Amino acid sequence: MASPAAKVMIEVDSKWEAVIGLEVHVQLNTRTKLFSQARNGDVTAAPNQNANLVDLAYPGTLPVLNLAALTHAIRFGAAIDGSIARVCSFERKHYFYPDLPKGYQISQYSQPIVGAGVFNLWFEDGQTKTVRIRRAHLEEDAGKSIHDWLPDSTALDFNRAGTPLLEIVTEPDLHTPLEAAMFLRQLHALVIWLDLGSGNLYEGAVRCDANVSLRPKGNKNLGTACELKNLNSFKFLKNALRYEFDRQVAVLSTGASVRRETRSYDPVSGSTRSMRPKEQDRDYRYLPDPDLPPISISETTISEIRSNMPELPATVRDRFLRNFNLTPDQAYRLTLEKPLAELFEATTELCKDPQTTANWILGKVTAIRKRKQSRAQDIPISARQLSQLIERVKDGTLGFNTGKELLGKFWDTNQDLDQIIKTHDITQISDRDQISRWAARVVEENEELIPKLINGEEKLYEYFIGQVMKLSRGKANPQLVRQALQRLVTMEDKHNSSENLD
Amino acid sequence: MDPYQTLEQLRQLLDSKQITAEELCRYFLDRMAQFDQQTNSFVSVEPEQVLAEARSADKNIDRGINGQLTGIPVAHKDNFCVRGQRTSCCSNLLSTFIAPYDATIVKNISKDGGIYFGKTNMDEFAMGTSNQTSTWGPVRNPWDLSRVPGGSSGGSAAAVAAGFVPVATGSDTGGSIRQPASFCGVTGFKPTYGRLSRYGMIAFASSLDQAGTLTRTAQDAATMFQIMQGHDPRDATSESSSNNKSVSVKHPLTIGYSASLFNDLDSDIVARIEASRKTLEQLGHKFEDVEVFDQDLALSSYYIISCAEASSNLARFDGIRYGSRTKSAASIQELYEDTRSQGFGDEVKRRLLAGTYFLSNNSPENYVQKAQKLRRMVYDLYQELFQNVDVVLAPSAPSTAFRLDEQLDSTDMYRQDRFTVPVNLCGLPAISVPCGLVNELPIGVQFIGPQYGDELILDLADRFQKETSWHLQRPKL
Repeated sequence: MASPAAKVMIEVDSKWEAVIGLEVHVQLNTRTKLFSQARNGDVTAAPNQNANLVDLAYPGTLPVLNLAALTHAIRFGAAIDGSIARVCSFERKHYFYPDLPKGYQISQYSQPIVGAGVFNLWFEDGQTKTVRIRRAHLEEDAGKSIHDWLPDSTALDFNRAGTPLLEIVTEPDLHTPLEAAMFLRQLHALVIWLDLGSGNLYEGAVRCDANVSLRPKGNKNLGTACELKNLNSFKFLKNALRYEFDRQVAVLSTGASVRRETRSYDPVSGSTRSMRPKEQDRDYRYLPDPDLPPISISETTISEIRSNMPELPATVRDRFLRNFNLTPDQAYRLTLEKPLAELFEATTELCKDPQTTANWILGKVTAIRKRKQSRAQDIPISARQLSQLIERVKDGTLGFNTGKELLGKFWDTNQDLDQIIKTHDITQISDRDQISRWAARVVEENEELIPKLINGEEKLYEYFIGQVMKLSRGKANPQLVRQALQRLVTMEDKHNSSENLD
Repeated sequence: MDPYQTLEQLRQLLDSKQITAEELCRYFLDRMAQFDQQTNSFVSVEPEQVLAEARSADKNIDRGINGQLTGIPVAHKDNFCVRGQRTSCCSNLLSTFIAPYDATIVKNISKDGGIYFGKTNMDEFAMGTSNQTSTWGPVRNPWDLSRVPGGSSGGSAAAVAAGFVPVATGSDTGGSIRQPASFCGVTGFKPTYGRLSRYGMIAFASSLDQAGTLTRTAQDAATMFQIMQGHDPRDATSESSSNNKSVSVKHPLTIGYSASLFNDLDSDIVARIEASRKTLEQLGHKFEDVEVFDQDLALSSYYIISCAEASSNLARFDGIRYGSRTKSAASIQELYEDTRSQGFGDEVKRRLLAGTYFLSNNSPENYVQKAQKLRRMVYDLYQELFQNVDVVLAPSAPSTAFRLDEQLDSTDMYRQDRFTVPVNLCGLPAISVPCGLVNELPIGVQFIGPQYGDELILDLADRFQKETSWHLQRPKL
């Protein structure tokens, strides 16, 4: 696999600059749908189980706005320092498609709930870049057309119809595929941090379209953009943009011009292909939705929502850098997910060792979590448990490896550390006499190997240590075992030397 | 048994056990069976269901559990969803559609004990002023079977006029209750927009549509209004019950009157309205000349907005999830085209095409925006007007019922609505009450109230009917 760094170099070297803007659709995790009382977001439901008469656009049914979705949108607006509309209104966007029950989508066109804001993109080296957010608006999701389910027909599942979406639109402030992917990752992290949605990319809970055009470096004019649809992972986004960059460079280098169109990305071939002429050219016949009278949003409501905002990731990151002497990369990774940041801070509070805490969380905790595929909020380790663990390893009660193993045990039980140590008899043995006796026995049993050991074959040391550990049933302090063995070997050596002298 | 009794009279008959609900309903069913072949006012009736409901109403009456409507049959216009009943909007496209739920006002009426009697005929999707666009055939006016009943609530107006039911629901988007009420000699009430829930009333033009009633008297309209009204959490445009904006009832009133409205009316009709004015003056009301909005401009605004909204509201009828679908289609595009071409009638198609064009990017005239601007002007004018007068008096329709074979072109047909549409543009309440006969045909007069002045105009209409007997006139069947 080509390293990302090498590819970035090519982009940097090119005489072309990419101009990228993203449109990100975030499914909101409200209990019910945007305009109906049907249950929202239950991906395990049987087809059409969560589609009620409103979702199916039965004659005579009417939409009623779910205020929880409005609150979510305002919370997002507050997080990006965006302007919040004082009046919330909706338009109908018309087009015919079998999975669009009403023949129109209810969306916000003229007056998005969130206006201009900013997103501070953070890089691992601590640099930041401001990406302007143009707008974020509420709209409803469509159902799903399933073409490969029935032999000669298309199946329709309307469970998703009416799911609240927040469509977030950036200004074209991104200039490399990597930057775009970083942005999507951090926006995604913010969505989960604010508990706006599940963020599950696989289930389509966050979906991304990208507008990309090229221009000669140093030129301020925008080129003709293509819209890339449904780039639903950070990797797909990056790879699709890379392909598109190369494709557009190839087109422009011949002196031809890029066609304004919508393109789809095929993750298997890693290429994009033309779908249709650009969306904006379609006639959606926008109409203010007469079923949804504009709702005024009071200053009080907004300030109430603002005052209930959690501390934002960027603020937490700055605080971590300031107070705990972490590297920018550590601070970044600890603040991608709120539960991790909270675990870090609470653990540090208890054990007063931020560096070791960061290492444990970003190391072993993250490794186990990945293996168990736990979401951050489902990590079962408490700050108390983790700080106990850190302290026991530090004071030698536990070996480092035993400590790591214990994390796995915490994952499945919710026991007190000291309790586990007692019931499992896993206190590390640091009794030097006992360790010397074991070491002596191993040396005695392997006498023929001693000369090689004396000659310093390190691999053989590992073998001897392993044998002693086995005798101790894994509980001996490996550091002390090594010391004991070294002592014994030195003694043997001296003994042999004195024999030769005789 | 007299089929032309008020709700109060029927209540009294039932409560005093002079008649059972079953007998009452059987009487109306028989009468309808006997005469409705001539009028075609009903499109679906299930007599056995009606009688079963009536029998359970009788049990409730015996036990003393009484709503005001317990045991009394009520008909619903075919655009109100009634659970388990065909609700077709008199369109071929919905000719097989069985509603899976009750409209809120249907539910409110049945909660009060009203017996669902059947569905009344209407213009397809409520688009029309003559009830000739129904897929189930035209309705004939009980006063003269060669004439139309008006529309779009023509079936409801004819059914009440013919004495098939004491009350029927209707809907009024641009006059669809008041104009047929005028043609059929009954009382037609269109409340303030938002006072009655639209949930379950199949939309034509959402910002204009309003449910209401066709009854014998204003008092019956008031009774029905009390039963049907109330905030509905399923309708975001429904007025919250706590707002208490009702205009208080008072007497006598200052009534606005615009001579310019009568310029192009038949002198016989003008005479009837002048006589109504005299009656009202004798009751102590004061008249004041007012200037109303240019009717033709208001009418343009109305047709642009209503067609635009209709083209949007009717987009859901694609044959995918319910309703009739074309049998064979090679592509999804063809499925839409065939379903909708076969499903909709000419008048609906005409308005959908116009509405689609009005909303399109390709119409540089910005029709809808201009229409909204006009609508705002009409609204402002009425707001101002009601600073000086309590109520405005206007004709309900420009003529008496016309003949079915009179070939009115679309624009003439649209002009039938010119006295009624400003009310819908402004969301005002209005009531049409019979005020005379012209050549043996009824004609109505309209009282228009300020927003939330529903009780005010109902009271005025009631006082008017106590002084007059036009609402007691009956057609000969």
